[in-house]
Amino acid sequence: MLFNSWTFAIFLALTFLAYHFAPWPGRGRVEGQLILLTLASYVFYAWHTPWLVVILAASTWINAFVSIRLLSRSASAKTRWRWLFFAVASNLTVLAFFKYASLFVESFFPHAWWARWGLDFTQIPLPVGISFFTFQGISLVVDIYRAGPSGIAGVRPPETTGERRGLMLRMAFFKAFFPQLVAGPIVKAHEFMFQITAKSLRSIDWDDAIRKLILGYFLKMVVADNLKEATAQLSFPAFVGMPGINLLFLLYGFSFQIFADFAGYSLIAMGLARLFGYQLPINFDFPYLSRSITEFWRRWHISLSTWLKEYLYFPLGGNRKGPIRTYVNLIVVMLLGGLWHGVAWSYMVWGGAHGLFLAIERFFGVKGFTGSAPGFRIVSFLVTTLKILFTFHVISFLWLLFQLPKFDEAVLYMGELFRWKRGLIPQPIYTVLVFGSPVVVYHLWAAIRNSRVVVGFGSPNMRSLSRDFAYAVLLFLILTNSGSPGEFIYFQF
Amino acid sequence: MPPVPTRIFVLTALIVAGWLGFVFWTDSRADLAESNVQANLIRITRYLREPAPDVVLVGSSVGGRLLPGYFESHGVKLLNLGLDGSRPLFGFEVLKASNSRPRVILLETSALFQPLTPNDATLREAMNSPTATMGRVLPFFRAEVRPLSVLYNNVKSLRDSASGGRAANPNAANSGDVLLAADELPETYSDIVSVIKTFKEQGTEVLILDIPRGEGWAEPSRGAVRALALELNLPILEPGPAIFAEQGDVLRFSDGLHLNAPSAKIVSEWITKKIPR
Repeated sequence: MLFNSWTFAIFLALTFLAYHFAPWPGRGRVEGQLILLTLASYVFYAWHTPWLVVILAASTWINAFVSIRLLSRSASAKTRWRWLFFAVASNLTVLAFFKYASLFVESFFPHAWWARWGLDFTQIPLPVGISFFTFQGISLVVDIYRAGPSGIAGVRPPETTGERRGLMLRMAFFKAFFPQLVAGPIVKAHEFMFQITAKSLRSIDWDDAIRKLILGYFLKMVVADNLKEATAQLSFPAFVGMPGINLLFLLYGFSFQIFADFAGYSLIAMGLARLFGYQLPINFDFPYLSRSITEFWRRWHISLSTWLKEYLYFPLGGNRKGPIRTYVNLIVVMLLGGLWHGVAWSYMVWGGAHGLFLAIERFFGVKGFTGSAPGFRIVSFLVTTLKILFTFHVISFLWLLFQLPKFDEAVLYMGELFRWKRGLIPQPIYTVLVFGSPVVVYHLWAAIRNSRVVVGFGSPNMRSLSRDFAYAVLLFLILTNSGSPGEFIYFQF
Repeated sequence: MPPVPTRIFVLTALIVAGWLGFVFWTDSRADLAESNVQANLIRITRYLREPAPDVVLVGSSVGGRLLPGYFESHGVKLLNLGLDGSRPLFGFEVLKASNSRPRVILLETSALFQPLTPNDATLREAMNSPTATMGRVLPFFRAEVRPLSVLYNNVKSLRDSASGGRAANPNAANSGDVLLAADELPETYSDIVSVIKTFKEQGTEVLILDIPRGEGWAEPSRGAVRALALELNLPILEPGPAIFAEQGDVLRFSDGLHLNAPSAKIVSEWITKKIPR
């Protein structure tokens, strides 16, 4: 079910009304609400392909079962480690089977007799959201393992059968909560489980929820869905023979589109979670203001990069085992991060290239800036602007591997671009300029806000009115200027 | 309960009212749009809203440049289903979706025999979307009043009027003038014949329209077009050679293929004289 469909609007209205207005019994309110939201989430997930819920349910059951074993006070350290290993291996096996078996067979055993024996290994369907809920499952068992038998906030050792059932329900809800089920943000157990309590209308931060929903739907329906019409030409053979300026704008267009699509989804997910009284972690922090690739990964898909850092980079040793090992760890983590995105070697190359940039920047001592923006000194301003533009171009060129996963096509595109055929096809450039400009303005607004240039500009009432007016314009454009509805790009991952 | 940010909704309502007022007061509706899907939606929803269309043009983006306004000033009420990046076969699908039948169909030859593409599927989905359905009743939801399409329409019209464009290659229009044998006809030929027969049986007159195209365009199915005209006894209108003979080399093409606005007006005027009254 797509967030930008009428079916979802009806689903959301019904779920919201039942969640907040059903006559839940006083002490059973939290369980009632959890059962409702979990069932609703399964309906949401099963809407187009019902059999997928079997995988979600099986994955949930394994993680919940192991979590309860990990909470047992009688389990020895060795036993707990074995349960953890079993859970992580199970999660990764399921993910690897559905996501990579076909790539593996097609790459290494395309003609093997067993590849098409009984089950066709080259045609395994990819369950939507499996990469996201698998990582959440790993986070659950690892967080509980790390905390010890006393558990984490919101996940305490069950004393009775009733408590055990309640805990299973909480964990099922954590894995299935529909706003973040299919494309994140990837929620870590220690960030979420403690939030599970009985909710009422008082729990809703309406202001934050409405603003996030408006901004998210604007980015998706107005920016990404309209840009998609232009970037459809960023496919083979449509781009062959196109003027150089058009090829460059297609790259910019896709950079804006993928940001608007994914950041839009994340904001909608956060806004929806707010309506049910929950807070999801932020996923994007104006990534195209980054002055280095290191900084980019602190601002882009934050829930994935922090997951990789907490559950992969640190266990590999992080930067504690010398510089060479640090570089290797960075590249390995980014290679796997790339492979997490998709079933193609190009994703691995994409991740490897990012890893290489991270290692090079670390070697030259480039820090990931997260502090305040530059001052007014003209040289500092120009240098910062050049760094931002350079980083944006590196990232945009690497996005090409997302849109053209076949290497020869990506190479051909670059060749066409550097050949720079003269001329201009105006329509797609208009689309990229007009629908890409909100992404630029959004980032510029953040840069200006961080630079504190506008502090004290107008009265507080005037600032508040201006802000509401800006959101009203976004809502107006959602109603009048949406593109043709399309799936979210990150659904394929 | 914490306050809901109602001021945002009130301001949105005011902006919506202001925009609708502006659109209807200035009659600012888009004929062209920044994307193929939106441009096609404008044409399709106009057709579906029209209770009894008089003349309908079915074709590709080449025919899409002949705007209804150019015909209206000569007393012809035309609806244009010249769809960008789409196929005439899909245009016929839209025609069939309406209960009413036009008096005359102008069937444009560009891409006439090409099979349906994924673009047509996207368009079918957009055409049946709730927004497009609501747009049949509520003007606010119509593609022709999208603010950024109205802006694009004005920018495009200005650009087309200002730029001269390229000249046509008159020889290109005369190439491939050979009748094809039955086994050489394209796969979609029988589908096209069948759908035209249906409309003719219901009293619609069908005219084939060979709109001039710029250099670099060679109509590959010209032989099949001749075969179609012969089989169903359809007249062929060829404004290109006729205008060249009457007025000289006046037609210009904005991108080497599509007529620019002044040339599209000239061609439209020529066609209005040939449409049976």
